[in-house]
Amino acid sequence: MDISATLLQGAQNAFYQVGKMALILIPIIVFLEILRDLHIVQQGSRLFAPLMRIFRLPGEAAVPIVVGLVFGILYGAGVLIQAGKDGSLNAKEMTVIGLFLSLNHAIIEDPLLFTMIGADYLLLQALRLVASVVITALFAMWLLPPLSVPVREVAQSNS
Amino acid sequence: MNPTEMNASRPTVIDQPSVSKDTFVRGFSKGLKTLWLMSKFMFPLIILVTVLGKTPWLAMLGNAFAPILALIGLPGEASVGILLGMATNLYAAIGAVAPLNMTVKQATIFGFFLLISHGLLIEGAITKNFGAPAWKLTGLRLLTSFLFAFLLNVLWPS
Repeated sequence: MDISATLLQGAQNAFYQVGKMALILIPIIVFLEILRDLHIVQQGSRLFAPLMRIFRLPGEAAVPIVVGLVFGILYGAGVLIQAGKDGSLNAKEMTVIGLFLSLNHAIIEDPLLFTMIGADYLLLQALRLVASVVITALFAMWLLPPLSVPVREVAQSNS
Repeated sequence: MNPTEMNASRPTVIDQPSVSKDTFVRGFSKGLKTLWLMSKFMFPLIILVTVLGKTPWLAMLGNAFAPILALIGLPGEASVGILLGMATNLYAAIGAVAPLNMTVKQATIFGFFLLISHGLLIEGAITKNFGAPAWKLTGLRLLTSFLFAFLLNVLWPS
């Protein structure tokens, strides 16, 4: 094995990945700032709030989840880190979203790759969705307080 | 309740929705900070993973793991693909099993397993930002992969 050629290839890979990330991540974050200033994110996340209840999460959690599902874990993580810094999500909520995104992300691109070796695309993604929702919901039941009491108040009264 | 009623019942928003130059500057600088945070983890790991893929170590490990894969209905030869996929990425995994001519069932189980658990080194580094230790989330991914792949193998008539 030619070590220097391999290292060079690794560095090229890394530059390529970071460059690709910059091209997608920065426009997404700028786009999200625009959505936020137009108050669209707050309105839009209401649509997903009922779904987030499955994971005992507030409606705001829908934003990193939707970004991660469509664009991949890296971009979902970028939005999630931002939400953590803004204080709109706490550490435990981030962990639950992080688990869901770990299990299920890039739902358009990734399953398509496996059709090349003869896998069933719809079955793959449907099964992945079921598995990730079941495991994340169970994890949330263990980690987060029930939603009947507003999550934010519980977090404050405990601290 | 129709949208008009909802708007009427909502208090007036003092902070009017508006986009200015500040929006773009803020977004761009937040984007750059996040990019920097992630590059610090990703850059050295991508180099490490590329080097690892060139060594015979992954193939040697594959032979050792073959009996475990029989539990989820995969042929022993697929273990190299599974390990490559878990350590590096889906492209490497698919490249490794493409010559095997697996059945639809085998290919779907293989695909499902790796869709849940892939790129564990790089994505594990990303999950460090998720508030829990990376090994916990990675462990849950592997558990989910095994559990549901096992169920799929048992329930799918061959």
